[in-house]
Amino acid sequence: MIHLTESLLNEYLDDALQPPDRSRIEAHLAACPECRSELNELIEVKRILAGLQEIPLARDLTQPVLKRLHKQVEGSSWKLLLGAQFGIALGLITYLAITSLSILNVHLQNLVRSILSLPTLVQNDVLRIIPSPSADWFKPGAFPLSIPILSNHAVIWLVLGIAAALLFLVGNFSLLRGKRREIHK
Amino acid sequence: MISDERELARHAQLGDLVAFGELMRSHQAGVFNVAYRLLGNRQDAEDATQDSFLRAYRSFPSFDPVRPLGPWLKKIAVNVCLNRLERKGELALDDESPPEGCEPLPGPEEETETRELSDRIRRELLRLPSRYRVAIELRHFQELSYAEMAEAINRPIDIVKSDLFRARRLLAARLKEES
Repeated sequence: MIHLTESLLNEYLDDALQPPDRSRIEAHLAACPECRSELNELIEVKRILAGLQEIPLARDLTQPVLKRLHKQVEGSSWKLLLGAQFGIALGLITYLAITSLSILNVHLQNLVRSILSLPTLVQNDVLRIIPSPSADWFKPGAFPLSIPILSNHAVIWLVLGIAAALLFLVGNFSLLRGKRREIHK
Repeated sequence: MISDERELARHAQLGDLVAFGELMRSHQAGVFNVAYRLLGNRQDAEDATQDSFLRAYRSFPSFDPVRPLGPWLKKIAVNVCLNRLERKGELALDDESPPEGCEPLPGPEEETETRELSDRIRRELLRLPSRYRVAIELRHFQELSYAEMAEAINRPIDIVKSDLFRARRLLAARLKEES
């Protein structure tokens, strides 16, 4: 008599066979004591494993995990805040550099003309490299912002400055308040 | 209860650590037992439990709160334990020695006969090679299908079935020896 393979017996135990195969196996099991005995051993293993009791936890693991998560979240918040502050500071410095260059370029132009004794054609080439200040940029009410009492330059400084101050105050205040709450806990 | 858990899961997904803490309290014992069955000692199991919840928190945004949370957490625990066993080099098939520092822990108050049987089963489970132990865990304790088992541990279905069938054969033989 050909016996059932280990694979078939296990799949039968796990109810993983299609009905026609299942019926075929049941018919074989009815006639084969050896296969029946093997199946019974597997059923016994299944029964014993199902009876295994769970072990209780000796302590609550929630607090250590939450503590680590708090630190991670806080660390990310600090990084985000610092990154944002750095970004705004960089923006301000870049804008300052550009506008300063614009303001100073008149002086640069005079420097090129007076101190460097270059032929006129060369002077003109050099002067072309230095950006000409758009005087309107510094006039109140000028295009594109067209705010009557403020120049474009002043508005940009105001906006960036307020954003930086708010970010600094609100961001650091809320993080410090969170830290103080943690210490008092 | 289920809708409470779904609400907590939704809050936890938005970063609410209090909600996540509540979920953890409900499921930590189950996750601990998964880890203990696979690793064999309390300290490693507690560490693996904490790591599992940390990993779960990071993956939480991708979790569908409509699905039950327990099975998802237990799958994470299995993978955390697998990583630990791989790092320790304990995933070899011929490694039949119990993990270091392991001993069956006393179970809850129960009749002597039941406790002795549980101790025997835990001992024999811990004697199984780690891969077989994982197969038993996924099929018998987490009730996954063969396909789900293969997906959970990223192994081919044939290998997973083969591990399971051999694990059962080994357990049957050893439990028969002991009795």
